[in-house]
Amino acid sequence: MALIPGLPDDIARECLIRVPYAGFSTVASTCKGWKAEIELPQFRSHRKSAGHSQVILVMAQTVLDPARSIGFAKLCHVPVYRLTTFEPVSGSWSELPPPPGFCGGFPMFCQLAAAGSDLVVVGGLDPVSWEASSSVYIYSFITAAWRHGADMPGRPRSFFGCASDGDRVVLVAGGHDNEKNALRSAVAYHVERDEWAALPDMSRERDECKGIFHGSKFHVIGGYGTAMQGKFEKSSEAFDTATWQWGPVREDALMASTCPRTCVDGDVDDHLYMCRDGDVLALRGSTWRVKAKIPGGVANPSHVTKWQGKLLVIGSARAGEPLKAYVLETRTCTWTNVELPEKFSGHVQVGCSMEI
Amino acid sequence: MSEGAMAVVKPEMKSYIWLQTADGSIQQVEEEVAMFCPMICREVLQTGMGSSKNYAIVLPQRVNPPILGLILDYCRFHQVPGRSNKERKTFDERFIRMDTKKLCELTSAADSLQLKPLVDLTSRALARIIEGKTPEEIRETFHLPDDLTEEEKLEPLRNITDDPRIRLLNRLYARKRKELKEREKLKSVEVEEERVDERSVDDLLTYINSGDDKGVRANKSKKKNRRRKDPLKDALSNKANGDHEDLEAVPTACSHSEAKDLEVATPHKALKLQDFPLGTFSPKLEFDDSYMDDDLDPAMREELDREVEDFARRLNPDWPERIQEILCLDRPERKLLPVHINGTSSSCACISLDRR
Repeated sequence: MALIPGLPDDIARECLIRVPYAGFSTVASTCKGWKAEIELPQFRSHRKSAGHSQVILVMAQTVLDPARSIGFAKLCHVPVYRLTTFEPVSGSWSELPPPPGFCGGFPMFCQLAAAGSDLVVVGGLDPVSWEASSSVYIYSFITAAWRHGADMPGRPRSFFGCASDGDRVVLVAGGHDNEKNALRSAVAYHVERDEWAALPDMSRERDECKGIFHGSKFHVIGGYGTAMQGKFEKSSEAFDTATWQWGPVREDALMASTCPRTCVDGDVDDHLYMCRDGDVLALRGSTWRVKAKIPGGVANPSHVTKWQGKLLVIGSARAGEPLKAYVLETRTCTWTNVELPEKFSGHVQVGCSMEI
Repeated sequence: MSEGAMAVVKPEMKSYIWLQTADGSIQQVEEEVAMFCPMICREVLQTGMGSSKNYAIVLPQRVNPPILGLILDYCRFHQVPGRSNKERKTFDERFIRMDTKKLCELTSAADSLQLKPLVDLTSRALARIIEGKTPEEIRETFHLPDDLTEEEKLEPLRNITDDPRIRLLNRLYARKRKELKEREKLKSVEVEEERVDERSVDDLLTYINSGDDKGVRANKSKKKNRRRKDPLKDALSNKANGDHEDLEAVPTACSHSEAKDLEVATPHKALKLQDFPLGTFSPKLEFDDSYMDDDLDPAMREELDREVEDFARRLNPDWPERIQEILCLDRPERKLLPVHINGTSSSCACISLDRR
């Protein structure tokens, strides 16, 4: 059965790869042939190499109701998070529907990771009970539907580092358990197989660490041990999925003992990018240098995401001031302002980038 | 110089290429136009064909005379070197306006002639067609089998803001909101708004003060008067729909009714729609300025005032309970716990209240 009767299949594919991702679920609901075609990994890679893939930045952002931006609403307000999407090319903002049966907003401090055309939401604190959650929710951009993934194994953990190789695996490391013991354990989730696997322990306990994927390895940066509450480490360790082993601890990965929240993987020769005191810093080899200054007086952004050649920095100049967002092109070090529509100017807690 | 073997050279030195379509008919085409097609170009250069009627280049089967005509129109326009990108784009947009069947034939033919830019143009057009249709419509248009099971045919959870109509609405409303904010500074509009609310607040105050011993609450509500615009309207509309989730539901997807579509725009406008179920209003409201407060004609305004009073009266029986919730909470149906969050999130202390 031809993909499109009357057209050679490779031409039909040329049409399908040009359908914007918002139309994916329609394509997947048309007929068996189309569903099978769009779910192939080759579809995504073909789309990417032909230059028709779209970058989406997904964020866990607080709901901001413009009608209640002042007064008592601000006082009695537990932030409710929902997932928003931002397309940097078109500048358009949108929201993802919540998983069915969800009533309370997303878990706070959950982590987001992108694997292929799936968005994986891991853990977090239940917004009602404040208990650490081990649940995994997955949103497929192909079917525009949510599904439940297998729970994270082991004791529930929170404030862990999380990163994905962008394709198949999501790694979770560190964090702390219900007694605020920092963890050195790590687990990996294979999205397609819906399976978790235990990793060997890290050398150090890392609570509030940052996970990034760089140079085909998972890096876990910073964090602190149980005895050193809040005293962040400068070290990092890297896990190689090929050897299934952690590499040696790199002692001075960070330039200072600071929260690694804004660390993202670097481009080309840069290993890491990080924001500190109004600067975007880049690590190359073992030296940090200032790459650019963040505009708008944003000294310490709340959220940084990276995609091919670009960095999104979101934060406010001072607590309580309106949120600002800027995109840095890493090659030319030029900034572009991002307009935040009122509805999408809530605090961003976590985010990730996807290319589909 | 025998005519049969050599190219016919016209007085103005124009050369022609001879092409034969699958049905056997032969036509001559200006050289520069025909050579724009890589396949024809290659044939001419490698085999020397096309120079006369007897040696016409046989085109692939997929190219029939009318389609060839279209392709040549395309080539004739684009082979002229001096055109601007804008001109080319405008031509392209107009060029692809044809029915889907012809578009498919054109794509197929362009592919066989290796005319990549035209293949790109037509497949993009087809992709846009696919995106804009429902799966049922797609099956009909492209003659595809309806072979998916019911569960496989997922109801795509389309985001509200994905709809271009809604996006346009949102933009318009954003503009209107800005205008409204400016106008609100003018005294007359303030007075108008106050008048509308004043009546119902009086109603509720009398009820609260007379009915119960919740003196503290009454005081609170007095204080809240200044900000009563929004919470009141919230209450009114919430009650009107008997569904507290309405405003909260605004950001989430899956609303299908027209009224809900308009809800997304601003809570302000949405509330008016719900408060005043004037059916005739809805279609005009999207773009009609007369909807704005200061432009309402007196008769209409009177009717609206009456409606507000009516609602207030109907709501009064449950009012004390409702106002208590509104004043203390954003989201009455959730149990809130006192909270202090360190780190990135804003900290807040909340009153806990149980909603039965």
